[in-house]
Amino acid sequence: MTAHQSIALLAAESAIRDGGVPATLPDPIRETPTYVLTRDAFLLRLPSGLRFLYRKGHGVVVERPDTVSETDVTAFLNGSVYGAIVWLNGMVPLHASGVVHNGRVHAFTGHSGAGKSTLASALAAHAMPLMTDDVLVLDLSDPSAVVCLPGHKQVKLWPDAVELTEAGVIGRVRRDVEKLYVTPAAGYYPEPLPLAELFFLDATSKTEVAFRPVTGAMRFTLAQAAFFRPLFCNLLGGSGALFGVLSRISAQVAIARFDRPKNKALFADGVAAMAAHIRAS
Amino acid sequence: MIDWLASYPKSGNTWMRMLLANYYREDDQPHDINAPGVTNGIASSRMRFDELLCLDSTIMTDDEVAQLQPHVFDVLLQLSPVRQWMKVHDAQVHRADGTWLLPPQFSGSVVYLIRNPLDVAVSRAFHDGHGDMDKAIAMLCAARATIGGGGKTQLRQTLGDWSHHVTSWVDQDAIPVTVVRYEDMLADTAGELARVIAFARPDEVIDEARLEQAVANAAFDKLQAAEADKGFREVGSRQDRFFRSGTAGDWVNHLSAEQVDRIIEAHGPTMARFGYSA
Repeated sequence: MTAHQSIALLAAESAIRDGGVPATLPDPIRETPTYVLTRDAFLLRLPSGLRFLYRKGHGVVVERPDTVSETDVTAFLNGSVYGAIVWLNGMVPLHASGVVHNGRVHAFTGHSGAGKSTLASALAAHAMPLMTDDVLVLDLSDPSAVVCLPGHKQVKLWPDAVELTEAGVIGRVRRDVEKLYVTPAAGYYPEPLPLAELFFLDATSKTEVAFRPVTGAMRFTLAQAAFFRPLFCNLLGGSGALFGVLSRISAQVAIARFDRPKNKALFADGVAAMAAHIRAS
Repeated sequence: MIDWLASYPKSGNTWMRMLLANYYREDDQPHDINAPGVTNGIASSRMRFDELLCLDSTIMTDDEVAQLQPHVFDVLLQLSPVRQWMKVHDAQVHRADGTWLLPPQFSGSVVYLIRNPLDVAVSRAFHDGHGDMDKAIAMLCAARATIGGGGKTQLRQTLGDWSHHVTSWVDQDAIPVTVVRYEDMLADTAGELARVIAFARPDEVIDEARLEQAVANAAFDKLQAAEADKGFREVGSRQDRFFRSGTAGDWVNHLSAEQVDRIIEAHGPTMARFGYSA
């Protein structure tokens, strides 16, 4: 399968239609109060009554109470449901945002709130268009490169992060949530490209930025930590599949830690350092 | 089961976590202040909520998140059914459906860390980077005080005012609780650490040599030096350093008589109950 075929597959699989969604699924490999995962399906259920059912090869069915808006459906579909669709179709979603420079992707991962989207959006000021926000889909079907697929959704930023970037505000992600959809100043990159480097974002009380290459077994540890919903990889593929994925990423992608000051007054220093690093790589 | 290290913020929780991390180390090297140690993070971890419930909490309202939060501990213990320490800053309250925020059925014990609110106010003002004592005092007296939430790495935590926070944990009877005063930790660090371990893990034999090593490795000057050398992830975004003073009674250098009176007026009974006075 080519990367373009993978893009088409994900577009078809994430197409939604309204309908009835069961409360649970038979033969779960994991069931929690909020989701059910089977070998070929994923069910997400929210306290509002909003439910999504994805079945491999059949797309997504949505059951929504009258009180749930279209923006609510879009917000949850593009996150958790989309991530499950990617795993169930043999691709690898990273919890990462990425930018493009010289035909290669440089991606940022880290825990929620680490500043992945903010850094990626701010790099637009350095003429680096956005590849994807929050979920970076890797296609491993080409043995010569780990290929990133273009993002499927708009960038989301908190209002204070918008002030740190040149992004244009589109509107709220959901009515009662302050997070905003924005347009990155350098736009989106629409084609698949190889992943060159994966940075783990961290912030401490230090006032200097630092790049620290990751070597040895820690590359596997950090690559797995970058997975979007890492538990799904183990549940669906087992340890063999997991080892294969981690080996590919470790062999073909540079991995580094990027330490930044937690002090937001020094945010621009980190952006400038990252832009210089990417240009030099 | 989870053993909670519960406290109002700036009351010695991080120090207790460092002591436990050093006590349970298998060698005598100082514990890396940025490593997890034996404490399984904080109850309000956004990352854990998102991963275990397969949801993006940043697109949910704080109330939607709070509704689902107790499920996190259920799923966590299904995946990792071991006794574990966990930090918590939330007040322990009943939710709208009558259940506890931190579920007793998943809890082993509570170590409640308390500190003189006069010193807590000063520490809070510096933690938030403004140094405004009136602002910090207002927070200690606010019935609806919260931290976290929004775009922060931790979910919203409802503290309430300082007295409410203390009594919410100390006077609940669903989970066994012991109180540890920050001032007693300063006076007899090894003794208080031993008491915490004996309370939460009564079957363990206390290792005196480890106690001594833990106290030495988690000494305040060592923590300060480690932060200066490597930085500290838990520092506030407007704060130069996390490990600032580590003393008792620093309030005399920062609070006016009127500010002290304001705290005593709001919290006098609870302060007296735990041996605090101006």
